Amino acid sequence: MKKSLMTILFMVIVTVLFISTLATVNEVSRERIAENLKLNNYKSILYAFDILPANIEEHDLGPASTTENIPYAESFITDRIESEIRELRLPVTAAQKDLLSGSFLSVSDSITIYTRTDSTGGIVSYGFPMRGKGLWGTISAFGVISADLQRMIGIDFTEQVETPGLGARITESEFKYFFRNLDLSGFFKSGRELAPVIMIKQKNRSNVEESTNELQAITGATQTVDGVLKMVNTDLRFYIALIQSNENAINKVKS
Amino acid sequence: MANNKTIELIKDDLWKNNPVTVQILGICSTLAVTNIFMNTLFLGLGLTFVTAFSSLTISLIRDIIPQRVRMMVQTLVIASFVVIVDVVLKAYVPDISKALGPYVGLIITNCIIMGRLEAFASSNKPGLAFLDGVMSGVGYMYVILVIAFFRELLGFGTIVGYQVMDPLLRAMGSSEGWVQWALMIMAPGGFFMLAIFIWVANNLSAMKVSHSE
Repeated sequence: MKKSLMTILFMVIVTVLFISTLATVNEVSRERIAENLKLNNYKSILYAFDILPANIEEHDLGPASTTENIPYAESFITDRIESEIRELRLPVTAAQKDLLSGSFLSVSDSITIYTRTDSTGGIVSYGFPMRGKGLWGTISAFGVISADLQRMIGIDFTEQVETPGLGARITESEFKYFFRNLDLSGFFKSGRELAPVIMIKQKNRSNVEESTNELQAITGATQTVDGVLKMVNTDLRFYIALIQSNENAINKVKS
Repeated sequence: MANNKTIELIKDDLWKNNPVTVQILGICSTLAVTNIFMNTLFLGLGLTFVTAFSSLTISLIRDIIPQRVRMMVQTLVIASFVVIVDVVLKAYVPDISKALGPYVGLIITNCIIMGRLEAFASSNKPGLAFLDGVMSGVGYMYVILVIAFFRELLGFGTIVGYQVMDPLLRAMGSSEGWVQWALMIMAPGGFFMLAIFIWVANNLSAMKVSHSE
């Protein structure tokens, strides 16, 4: 009995000791980690808006490179975010809420989107958070579409827990590059049987070279890319409707 | 005597009983993260830190740990040091932390650490246990660094992030330059490189034995 109590007491003391150490380490680093997360988020926004550091070509980074491999300087990130990216809060109508049923945005009465403006203050593109389901969990992304809503500018996956080497390859440049200049005209056609954006096994030309509504799938990651496709088709349909119905409010901001 | 034991320990951890090439331990991360040298270096340093300090801690308290809960204590100690590594990486090298992803947390399950705690630290003095932890970590790290060096060079054409193959091939007259070898970047490339490393290491060991005979 006494031996058992001593064992329990020993475990309690050791546990408290180590938990206290970890709590201290966590407290000391908390602010710095929060700052890093903010910068990482900004990096994703810049990448999706196709704002890369000078002299960096996406192709030169290699097919397996991720956003972390892009040599963004901290000053470049903050300068470009402050000068070109604006936040815009748009109200959600009752009809639009139907489009959102079951989505991560479904409880919102208004939604924040981001705009990229040129030197004259004109909107060049719209950016927004997206969320879908992968094989192992939630996939979060930041998507950007052109001001005329006809093509996608880019996407970055900000959170995912997919299988490393398979589903996790959605974060690699090779996959994300197919979103650049992706044709979104399917969202404006009625009575189409196919989804506006589709996945094919092998795509020989990028959408930058020849704009289509096709993305290239990843071998061995069918469920992950299916989740991405569903997220893109669902969330883009909503955001396009949201931007169209708020054109007046957006134009007021422009002027 | 103590010196002989120390030298034998170092030889064992680095070569004769290397955790990766001889014991085939911890190869999950060996295959997964060794396509970029810098990521591999930080994983190796993280594992060395955890192995060394876990060994030191367990050795310091080896006489007071109740036998029936010793593995629980070992897991608690390992997990605590891994969390410290994870927090430090997130705070000071966030890009590498994100690139390593779940593999930092998975250091907890790396068999090398638990193996050294059970086999060595729990029955040896703190100084020797710490040295064993460091050397086991270094023995693991140099193997994965060699693999990473060749995978990054052949896969991306770079050495520690600097492109070398493309200018080299262009200087030799190739108009196409360096074409990335995707197999080396993906996990199967890790299998091939690890197998080649083990083959070379075993042959060198066999040669040494035949020379000594």
